[in-house]
Amino acid sequence: MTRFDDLGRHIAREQDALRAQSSVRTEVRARLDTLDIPQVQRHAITRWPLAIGATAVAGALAAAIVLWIVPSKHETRLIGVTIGEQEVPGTTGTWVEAPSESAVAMRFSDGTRVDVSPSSRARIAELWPNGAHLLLENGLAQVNVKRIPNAAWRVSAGPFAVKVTGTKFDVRWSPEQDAFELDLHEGHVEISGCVFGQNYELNAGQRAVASCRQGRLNVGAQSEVHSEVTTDAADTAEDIMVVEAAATDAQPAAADDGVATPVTGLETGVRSSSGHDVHSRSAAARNRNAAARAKARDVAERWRSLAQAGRYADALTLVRSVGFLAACKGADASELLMLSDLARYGRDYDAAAQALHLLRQRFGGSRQAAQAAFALGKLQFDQDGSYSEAAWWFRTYLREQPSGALAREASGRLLEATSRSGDASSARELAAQYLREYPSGPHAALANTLRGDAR
Amino acid sequence: MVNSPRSPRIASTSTQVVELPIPDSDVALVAALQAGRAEARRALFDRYSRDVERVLFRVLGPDTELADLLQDVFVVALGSIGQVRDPRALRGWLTGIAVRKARKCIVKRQRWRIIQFFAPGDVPEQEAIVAPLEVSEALRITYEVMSKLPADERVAFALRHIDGMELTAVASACNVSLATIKRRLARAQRTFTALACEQPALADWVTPGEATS
Repeated sequence: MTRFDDLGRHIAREQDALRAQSSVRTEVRARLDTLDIPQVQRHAITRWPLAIGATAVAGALAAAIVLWIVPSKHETRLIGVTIGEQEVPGTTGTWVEAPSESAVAMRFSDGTRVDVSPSSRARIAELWPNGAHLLLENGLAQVNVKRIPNAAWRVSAGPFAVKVTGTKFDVRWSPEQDAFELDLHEGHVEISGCVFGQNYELNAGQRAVASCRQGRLNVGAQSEVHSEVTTDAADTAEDIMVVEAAATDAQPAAADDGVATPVTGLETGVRSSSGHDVHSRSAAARNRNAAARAKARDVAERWRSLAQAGRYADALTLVRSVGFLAACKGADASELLMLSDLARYGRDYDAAAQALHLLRQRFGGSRQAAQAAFALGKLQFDQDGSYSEAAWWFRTYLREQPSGALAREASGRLLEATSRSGDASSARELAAQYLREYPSGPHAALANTLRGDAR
Repeated sequence: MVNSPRSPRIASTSTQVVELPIPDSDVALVAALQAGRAEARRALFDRYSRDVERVLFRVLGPDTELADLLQDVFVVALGSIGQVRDPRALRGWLTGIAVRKARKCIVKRQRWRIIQFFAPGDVPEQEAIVAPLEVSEALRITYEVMSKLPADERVAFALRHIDGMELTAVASACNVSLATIKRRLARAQRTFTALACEQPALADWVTPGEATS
């Protein structure tokens, strides 16, 4: 036996202990039960021509990438920036934290200025020749982008990204409240991410208030839409307008090529708390609806077939070609679960959560809505490490489906999430309850450990 | 009665139509799968999901994508069950699919790292693969070191030394010759040793002279 085998055996033993507590197989078994998997007969094909063709294409692509990346990185001059009154030169990665009593200005060589407000934090993610990518980590930034040809600016805040060409706006982000706000004073911007979908366009005078976690979006005139960041989130929750893109009768408008776009579909679903439309559809958009609907139906059938055949990457590509939200719009509860899975496989966890939130809004009380709660718990647990949030979702599943197919897994995950969130007393209670209900369940070892800790 | 795949189920009490249980043999299981019997799918999963999960775990370590990969293996297997030429080799066939899926996942992540290196601003954030809290330092560092090996070498190393597979089985799972797998293992061992010696949590395990035989 080699020293590698000794180490390997040690690792394997530890892995086996982890696997014994894992509920992965039970979850996958339940998932497979819901899938229709047709048998595929693969025909023998000559692979050499394909391989040669693929190699040629890959070579051309590699050359293109090299030609594109290398000059832009090493030969093109990047935009310059100075920070604060002392005009400290900034570079990629520069982090700015404004003191509580004053703002800090970031002045760029093209005339663009970003004021990081008191107690706010921002970072220069990247400098480009004609712009930059800024990350607002917390607080408020007042952005005034100089309008010049080919300007390229991006401001990211949490899961949201703002694409800017020449404009003036204030952007606020509170990671604690998961609250995003943007007041647009001049020009227009495009916002992407989570409830905005892709390239949601905002015009001068409008305010957007959004929360990814709560699946909420409010867009309207600045005088009408309440600010969320500066007030208690719980108090403002009822005032926040809810995106009901999939629940409304609005249809996604077609782009010039006849492909439905998610942006208009989302806009038409945004309603104020008083019930009136914030955005009204144009007559031209309505006229294109019939073609868009036909196209959407066709695409929907194709992505479903691909997903059911296990060709997730192809299905996801197709879904993205029409917009994830547009695909969600025409989906039933099971398909929303499938779309969420597709997004997750593509590592677009925001989109996955979006589909699940939509499912719960539209099909609340159904078995699939409870499954969505379980899946949201898993996303919070696995991707965000937000154990308290995860526990909330697992509790929701158990409340809605106390004897559901995933009840044992939800109980185990709830136990694990509660333990990891640091709530030891609740974890002990849950451990005792788990052992009563599932004495030999996959989380029994953890439950025994937690109960043992109490002794 | 427990409703297990091997238990006879009465489809209709009035007509006494009884579904025969899926026999234990893989030949019968494959035949049932090819005939489209629903309970055969569950039987396949119940019979082999533990093995497939183990192989994925060995190659990838603790990983948030494990469930998705496990599902993917069975979706591929169920979809292409018609192509199984030797049903007696079902376990090896499934292991081969699992190994390919795991390898593909590794390659995808390695490519992603290269893309991020060249154009970090142009690609979206990728999730961090975070090991569970209860994972020991040795396990975590082992997979951190393994992540620096080329995909083929990592797979061979994991199957041989962590899963304890025979060399011929490793070669079969990787669909290469015995000589190739030996070369891959030799390279993997050299690289792993060099990298592990720099890690206090692993140094004792890999320092020459500490081997048990």
